[in-house]
Amino acid sequence: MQLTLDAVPHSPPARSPVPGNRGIWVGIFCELTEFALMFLAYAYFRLTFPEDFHRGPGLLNTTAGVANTLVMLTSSYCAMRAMIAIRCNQSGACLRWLAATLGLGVVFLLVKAWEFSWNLDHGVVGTGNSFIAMYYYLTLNHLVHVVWGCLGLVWALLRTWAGAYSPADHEGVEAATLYWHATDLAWIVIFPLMYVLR
Amino acid sequence: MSAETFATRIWLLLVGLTLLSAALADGAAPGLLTALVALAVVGIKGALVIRHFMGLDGRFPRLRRLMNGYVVLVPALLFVLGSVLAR
Repeated sequence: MQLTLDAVPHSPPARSPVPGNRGIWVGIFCELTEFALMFLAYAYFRLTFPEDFHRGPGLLNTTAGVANTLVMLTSSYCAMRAMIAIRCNQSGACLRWLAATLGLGVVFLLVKAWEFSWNLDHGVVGTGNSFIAMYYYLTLNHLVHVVWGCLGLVWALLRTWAGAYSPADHEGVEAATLYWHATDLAWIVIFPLMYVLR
Repeated sequence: MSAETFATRIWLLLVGLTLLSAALADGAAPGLLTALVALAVVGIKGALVIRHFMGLDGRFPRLRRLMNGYVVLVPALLFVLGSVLAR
């Protein structure tokens, strides 16, 4: 693995003590802290209402959960490819990969909307079951972060289209993709909690 | 190996790990084992995203430790609180 890492072009050294910029890392840590508190709440309710959490995942549409996990991972991959492209001075390719990342972000939102509609049709509502309440609490919060991430990607996309980035300076693309990866990280934790653990 | 090929392999690995986790969703395996595997997968997937997609390598040791700590501690805590103590 280590051998291959050298093949990945990096941002120029000593540009910043953090990748992207300090502001985006404040945002990322706020997001991850918010989710950490929600995960603690999940653990508390799981301890308090074990029967709800044992039955809960069986009430949800697992296919939608798996599909959205794959969509989110693939969008993260596209974001990584956009970074590789801009570091290699291929702004056209960067633009296409950013568009793919954003497109998959929209697909995530559409699948989520379909899943919520499926839930309502099958009586999966946030009252009377603490697991389902936790499910809406976690996934709706995550959805908000996906929307923020999409807006960041739109900004990076427009700036790339305007020719604002180069291999030496692409802080905006890096910041937008880092936030996107952090949102993917949160979903990586949420997926088993909602759809796998009984 | 080119950076593009390497990124594609990491993505395929992440997809494979997701499908492994999804295969446990039918509830056929014992609950504690399912929790152990699914939450270990969270740690592995998280570390892969942090290292290879976010690019937190040796140039950013503190940030990398902090992020890796998150994807290890959160699943570990959830395993102990949500699965071990819940029994």
